[in-house]
Amino acid sequence: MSEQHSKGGISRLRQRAKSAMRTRLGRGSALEKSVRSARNIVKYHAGAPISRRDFYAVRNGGGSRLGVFGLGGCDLNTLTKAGPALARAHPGSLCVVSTGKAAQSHSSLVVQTLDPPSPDVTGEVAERLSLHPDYFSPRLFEPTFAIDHQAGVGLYPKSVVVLSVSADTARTLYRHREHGFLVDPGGWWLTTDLSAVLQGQSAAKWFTSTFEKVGRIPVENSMRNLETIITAVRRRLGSLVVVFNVLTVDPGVTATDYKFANSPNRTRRREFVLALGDLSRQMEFPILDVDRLAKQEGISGQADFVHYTNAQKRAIAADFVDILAHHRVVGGGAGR
Amino acid sequence: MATPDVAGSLGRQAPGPLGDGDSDGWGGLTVRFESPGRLDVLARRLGGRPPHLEVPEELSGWVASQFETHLDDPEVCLIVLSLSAELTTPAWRHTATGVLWPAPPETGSWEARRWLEDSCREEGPPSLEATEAALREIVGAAGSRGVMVYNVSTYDPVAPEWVQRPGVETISERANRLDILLDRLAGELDLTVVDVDRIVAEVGAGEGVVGAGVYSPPAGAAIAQEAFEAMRYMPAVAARFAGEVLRLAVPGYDRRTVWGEILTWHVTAPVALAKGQKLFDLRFGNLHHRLGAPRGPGGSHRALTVSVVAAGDGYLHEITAPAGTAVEVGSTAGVVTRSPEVPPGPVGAAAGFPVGVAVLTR
Repeated sequence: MSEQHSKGGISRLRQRAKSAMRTRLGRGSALEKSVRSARNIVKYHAGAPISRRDFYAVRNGGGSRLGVFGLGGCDLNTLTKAGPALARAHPGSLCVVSTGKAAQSHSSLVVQTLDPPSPDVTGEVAERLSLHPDYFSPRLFEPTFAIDHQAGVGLYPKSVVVLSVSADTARTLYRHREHGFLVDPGGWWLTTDLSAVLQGQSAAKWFTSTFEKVGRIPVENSMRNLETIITAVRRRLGSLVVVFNVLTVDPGVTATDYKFANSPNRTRRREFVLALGDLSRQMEFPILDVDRLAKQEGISGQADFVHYTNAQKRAIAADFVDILAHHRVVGGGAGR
Repeated sequence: MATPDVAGSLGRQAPGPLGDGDSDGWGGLTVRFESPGRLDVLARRLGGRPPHLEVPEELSGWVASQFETHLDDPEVCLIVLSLSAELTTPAWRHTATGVLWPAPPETGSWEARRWLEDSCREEGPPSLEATEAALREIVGAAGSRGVMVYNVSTYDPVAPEWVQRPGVETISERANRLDILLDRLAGELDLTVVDVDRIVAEVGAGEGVVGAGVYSPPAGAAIAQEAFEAMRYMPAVAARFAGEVLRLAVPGYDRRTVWGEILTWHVTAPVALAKGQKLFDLRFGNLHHRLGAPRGPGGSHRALTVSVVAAGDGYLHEITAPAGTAVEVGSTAGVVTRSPEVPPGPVGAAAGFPVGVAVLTR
């Protein structure tokens, strides 16, 4: 039997096993995750890359470990697309992670972790809102990271920290009436049915009596938060900090009569892009200009302003590699 | 205004009723271009020629032409402006009178060259304050005529530095500031904005942007499509070209909203409609549905609900699509006339009654 036939047979067998598992246990079961994790770690230790939507890791025992840690929303998932090019430009092991979601990456929430509230007062809230165990922990400011759902890859240094302003442009925060800490309960519930998150009217009553809405963050406050975060990252970790700006236009919108459009999001995002440019001048950090790159490649296939097409992801990933090469984090890069 | 973006889009044959002089009461559209690109130069023309402005003979014809404008022509029903020349275009100011004009023509006369050097000075692009003041002045002079303004693409074909240089404003930043200014003024000054920044990005700015405020022919065609479509619903244009009977059409929200369901009407026919009045609520499908994809990114379960708002006055005679009806975007939801005395008639190719949309949920 040829090697090709043998590989095809294994692949078919694997597909059958996966189908059977999903039929019995459903999609994304704990067993499926465990099997995938085990298979990934075998690949990793054999020197093959693991490429998932939210992380990319490849092991090479010959050189230093390079870790890229992204904290942001869906826009930062483009980072993992840079994995193969970074692996070619870096002689050692590499791990690129896009961690967190929009609801965890708001700058006010990140700044809050520098002086976190006591678990005694956050415990009930974390449980009732199903918050991530690290929600109030200063995870960004720890010097190393591991992949949450992939054991065996080990710890990587935060050589590069990637942030994004997308959550600040869009998310709404809530403040605990008694203890003053902030939460973003996440999900789509802010614009849809509360019951999807809060499971019933009594929970909704509890939330509204416990929290007050503080609204969206003013641009200047967001930049102040970002300044605090970047300063702390540089001082504690010595990482290169790269910040994603945000697409300013709304894909698909054809409204021309803005008198009734009651949607100042476009203007708000422009203000963020401008303010981020000013902060970049002041603090000398590189901006990954996703606004420019997304427009360059064409926005018509986008679902919204933070979900990019494959062409856009490739352009963003290539620019990210060039930034790292320009700052001598990796070799090569196309340059400008 | 004869900036490259406006000329490159409106220089095309207008589609549909606007371009067809024989079609159901629409008279066909004539476009005239006026040369100065910058708004402050155009606004300065409104002040007329100052007395005691003496110029060399060789430049007298050119200077005289700087005070001719179509802005006060009663035949003009719509003024189309652009922010593109605000990006980088310089102007010349006559120091004694403060008159602004575009770059003077090349002249071989020593006397003319000397006069230009001694009497005028070149100025860089206008400040945002100067752009705003000029826009206000032009809109004030426009009176009841419609004003449409093109914003400007923020895409710079030359990639900027990753770390911005202190004290240097990039083209992209200046474009963003101009676009913010326009968004801020649009409601107050009753402007119809053509979102060139988005349209060019949809085409792909990498190929659509040729230079600062200059776009490729395919981008120009896409801009023209939206500009002409928006014109059809502008009261000032409809009043000139359309008949007395108007069609209340179901508006779309974006290119993906092709059909929806009318949830409720806020008015009962027959009734007089006033600008700003809510007419009906409309629910479009969720994002998967709007993208035509079986599965898509997050937020898929969210429907988009909008209120349709009157953007002009009129008289609603009849509702043809009651609450609960599934409707295609562009189909007829009602029959409107300019006044109650006008009897309703067939609306097949009638002009659209102007409406806007306000997002309720998404």
